[in-house]
Order: sequence, then structure tokens, then C-alpha cells
Amino acid sequence: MSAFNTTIDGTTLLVAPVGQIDASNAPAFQDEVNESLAGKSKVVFDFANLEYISSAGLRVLLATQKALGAPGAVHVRNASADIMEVLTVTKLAQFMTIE
Amino acid sequence: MNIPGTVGQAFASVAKGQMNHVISAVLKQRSYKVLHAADASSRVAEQVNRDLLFRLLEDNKSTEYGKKYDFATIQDVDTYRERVPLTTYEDYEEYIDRMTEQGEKNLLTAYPVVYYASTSGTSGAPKKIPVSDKGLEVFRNYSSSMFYSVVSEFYKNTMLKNVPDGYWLAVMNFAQTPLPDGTMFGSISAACLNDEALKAMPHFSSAPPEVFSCTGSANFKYLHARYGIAQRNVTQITGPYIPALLDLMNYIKDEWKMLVQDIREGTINPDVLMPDELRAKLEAALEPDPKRADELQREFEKGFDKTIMRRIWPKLSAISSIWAGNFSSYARKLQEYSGRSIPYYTMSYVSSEGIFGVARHPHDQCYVMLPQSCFFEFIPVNGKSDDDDPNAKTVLLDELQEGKDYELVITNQSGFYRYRMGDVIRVIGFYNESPMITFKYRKKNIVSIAGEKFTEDHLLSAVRSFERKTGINVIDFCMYPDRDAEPGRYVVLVEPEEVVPSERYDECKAIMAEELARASTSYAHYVAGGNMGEPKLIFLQKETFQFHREMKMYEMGINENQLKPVRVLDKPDLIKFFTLLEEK
Repeated sequence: MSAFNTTIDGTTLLVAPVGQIDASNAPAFQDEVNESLAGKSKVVFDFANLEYISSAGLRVLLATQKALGAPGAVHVRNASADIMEVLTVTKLAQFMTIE
Repeated sequence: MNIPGTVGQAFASVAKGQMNHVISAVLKQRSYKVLHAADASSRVAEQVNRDLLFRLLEDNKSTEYGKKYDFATIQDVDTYRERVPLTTYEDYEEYIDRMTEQGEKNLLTAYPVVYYASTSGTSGAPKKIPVSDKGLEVFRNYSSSMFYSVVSEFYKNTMLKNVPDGYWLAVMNFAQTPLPDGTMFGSISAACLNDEALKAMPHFSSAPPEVFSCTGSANFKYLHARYGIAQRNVTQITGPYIPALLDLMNYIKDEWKMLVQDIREGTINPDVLMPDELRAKLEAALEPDPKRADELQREFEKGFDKTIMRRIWPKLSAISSIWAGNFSSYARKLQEYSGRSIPYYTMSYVSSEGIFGVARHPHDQCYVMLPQSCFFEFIPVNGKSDDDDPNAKTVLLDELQEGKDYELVITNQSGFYRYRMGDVIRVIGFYNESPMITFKYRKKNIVSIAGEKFTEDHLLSAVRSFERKTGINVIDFCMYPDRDAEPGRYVVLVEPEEVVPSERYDECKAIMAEELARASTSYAHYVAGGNMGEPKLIFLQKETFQFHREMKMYEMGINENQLKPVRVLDKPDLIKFFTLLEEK
């Protein structure tokens, strides 16, 4: 299993990070997402086991959304109330599909 | 003719080099001409400025605005100031709507309006600033043309050598959209790119013209980086604001393996977002360059220290971008890649409404005003409440006093008369007759809770002292007035380069409070009197400002060069954005 639990299902990339994403591990998070992004039309971030995401991690979500192009192509599921608040206030949620 | 293989490549390379030499010679010649014109006008600045006003009044006396204020009978500056009111954008909005929606002419200016410049960095609908052919000519002459002459002068004086021929790595986007009347609308820098410049571009720009004019969604950072590092003979790295240049270097540091592979194979990475048409055009023109790829790989593997820019671009002679004042922390970070020996040239003091001054030397943080660009008036700033008086008295170029602050008022060549820019400048001296000025702050960024006036310049000064006293490097910073607190107080938000240990918070808070008070005596007075509370200091998570810029660009569909720094958080959603990203 990869560090950020990426799995591929056809044209969907599933990412299920655990713990926290901040400036110290965001570059590795970005690399892992990028490596599996080719040919994907949808990315699902499952945040069931994510406790915290900082600005550096949010940049990865935005970069993924930009790379996919189509609004709503990035899905977020099982986000905690705190993470959901961050996604909403920063307006990232506007461009994603919140499941 | 199709010459195959390496011979063909060598032939193309020589031809390209010769064209670069020719274009560089033309640019240098033009640059010296512009420099001489700027110097000549500075010697008789007052006369040039008055002559400009009377030409504008004469040429525009038959416009709707000119008839309204009877320009035809204005014989002196005092009559002009008495009869024509001070204005803001709202005074022109209705005229501009008629011009852009119905194609009406001769309303504000008799000169053909050839472009509408979008204002940068604001939320909501961007303003449309008319640009006439005459106004555009001034922009084209002075916005970036002085690079060669000013930087060459520096090298000749300090190292007895010239700026070599070479290429520009320009971090810009020149996308424009048509308005209903057919006139194009976009950034002012995009307007400066005429057909002649577009044709010459392949011979002096590291990236092809298609990269700059792309209107679709594309990863421009990749494109500027990919073409920029592929070109060994880059002499100048340029972009309107320095954060974009720092982002580029950070991107190269993070993504150099992908970039080098693409250069080696002559490809555009398939995962990089861009319109299919652009990708096809770019890929068709690319050739594998294993030699340059090997060289880059060798240098990147040695590390990204302060010599990296010199190592990958041995001819790099200057970094041209607005870097002073608010942007100085970005300049300092960029110096971690450039070292201190490459001059930073802050180019010009420019806005969509006009070009007001040019930096006369690299390293200068001030601008020499251009009396041939706009007719200038100045409202003395005394910190009193009458600064916003719609009938404020103005002074002229020859009445300015060194060390004093003034709000800038312009009459430009595109139909704005006695227009309050909202910028406050300080006169720091004179270059011949032309004032030398520094930008101080925007009036809309003044914070006041109890009657004090706290400017972004005060904040900058406090943050710089805070850095010196704490040893904490600040990436970026902003503030807002917290009027819900009892009594009201300032909240200062700072993004440190490295996470600050929580045991230092109290010390940092005390130092920031001290420095805010030192920066503004009126603020200190209200805090000491109990009318205002002690400030709150918030440390932001790393990359917060970068994330905010990227979100803004994505949300508004604008590029990095259209963003101004966020200094005062003036909307609840903006306050919530930043406060939620506090480092905890």
C-alpha cells in the first residue's frame, strides 16, 4: 500500500490519506497523486482517516482539480466537520463534488 | 527546405542566434532612445508637463467631456483646476459603458480608444480603463523598453561590460477578450504586445508567442519553466510582480526531473493541463535536446543554492520585476536562487491608467516621474480627515517638497481628467526637474478604528522590524481591524518561513505590539489611552498566501500578474479564509 493509500479503479483514482497533511508531507502527497493521474477523469479523496489538512495540503487538492479540468471532477468524501469547514470557507468545495 | 538531423538543427540554431542578435540590437537601440527621451524630459519636466495638459485640452475640446467643462476656453492651469472636478472611476463608468456597449466615440477622448485595460487584484467585476493610441504609445515606450539601457549602464559602470544578447524569460500572459464594440480587453501588459513584437518574439523570448496568448486553461507555470530552462542564453527574467518569479523558481526546484525529461525528449508532459490545440502546436515545433538536458540535470543535481540561476543561465544579467516595498520579502527569497550579484530592476511605476515613472538604475527602489506621460497634480497628505475632500487643493510638479507625501492625481492621454489614483507617494528627491518618488500606500488600505490612520506602509515597517528583532523570516503578512473586540484592536497575520515554536508566541506578540506602536504614533496614542486594545498576532500555516493566490486565480480566471498583495482584509469572507488557516 502506498503512503497515501492510492488505488486505481478504471479512470478513477482513489486517495485515502491517514493522519495529517501539512507542509512536511504535502510534496510527497502531490507526487503520489500526480504519478497516478494520467488518464484519470475523476479523483476521489476519502478523508475518513484524515485528521488535519493545512494550506500546503489544500494546494494539492486545488492542483488536482486544475489538472483534471472539469469542475466537480475531484470528489471529497467522509470529511470531518473541521476539514469540511476549511473546504467551504476557502471556496474549494465550490469546485468539487462533496459526497 | 527541410534539412534533416543534427545538421538541420545546427543550421536552425545559427539562424536563430543571428536573428536574436539583430532583434537584441534593435531593442538596445530603442532602449537608449527611450532613456535619452526620459532624461531630456526630466530636464524641463515642468514645461513638458504643462505643454502636455494644453495639448490634451486642445485635442479634446470637442469631446462630450471637453464641451461639458468647456476645455476650449481654458487658458491656464488654475482655470483647469477650478473648472474640472477631481474624479474617480465612477465618474467615467457611464461614458465607458456607452463606449464599450454602443461603440460611441468622442465622449472622453478624441483619440481612438484601442484597448480597455482591466484593473488588477480586485474582487468583483473588473473595471474597464480606456487606453487610447497615444496612451498606449507611452506604455509601449516606457514600460519595459528601458531595461537594456539602464542595465547596460549599470554593467558598464561597474564591470566595464555590456549586457549580452540573449533571450527573455517572461512570466506573463497576454490573453485578451473582445468587448461588444470589438475592442480588446485585458491586462495593460497584453496591450503592449503589438503585431511587430509578436513577430519578433520567437527571436527574443524563451517561450513561443502561443504560450503568452493562450486564453484557455493551461499550466502556464510549467510552460514558462519548460521553455525557460531549455534556453541557455536567458539574459533577463521578467514579470510584472516578483511573487510570480519566485513561484517559477520554486516550481523548477520541485519539478525539475519532469522538466528535464521533457527537454531531453522534446515533449510536453501529457499530464500538464493545456488546450489540445496549443499542445499540438507546441509539440510540432519541439526538438529533443539531450545536450541541454544533461547540462541541466548536472546542475540541478548539485542543488538549488544561490548559484543555481547563474549555473543554468550563465548570461543572466538582470531580474526585472516590481520587487520593492511590499514585495521585498519575495525578492529576498528569490535571492536564495539568484545570489546578490544579479541586479534586480524594478522597472516602472505603472497602472492601467498610465505609466507614471521609471526606475533609473537597477537596485533603485524609487521612480523618476515621466512628465510626458500624464499631467500630474498632487494632493498633500497630512493625515487629517480632510484628505478625502472632493475639492481638495492640488499642487504641481514644481511645488513638491522633498520628504513629503502626496496623493497622485492624473490627467492621462486616454480620457481621464484630474483622476484620483488613490496612491500615496513620497517625494525623495529630484532627478533634474523630475521628482523621484517611492510608492507608500493605497488610500483604500488605510485602517482606522479610533480615529488613527494606519497604512500598509506602517505595517510593512512594523513587520520588517519584527523580523530583525525576532530573527523570524516573514514570507507575507496582512492585517484587519477587529471592531468586534472591546476595545477595538488590530489583528496582524504573519506567515513565517518556518513554524514558530509556541513557547515564543508571547515574546513575538509583545515585539509586534511594540513595532506597530513605533510605526505609527497616532496608533500608539490610541492604544496608550485605552481607546484601542493590544494587537493580536496570528501565525499562518506555511504556504497560506500561495494557496490564497492560487485560489483567487482559479476562481477569477486571472493570472498571477493581475494580483496585488493582500495587505488589509476588508471582507468577512477574506478574514475567515485567513484566520481559519492559523498555525496551531
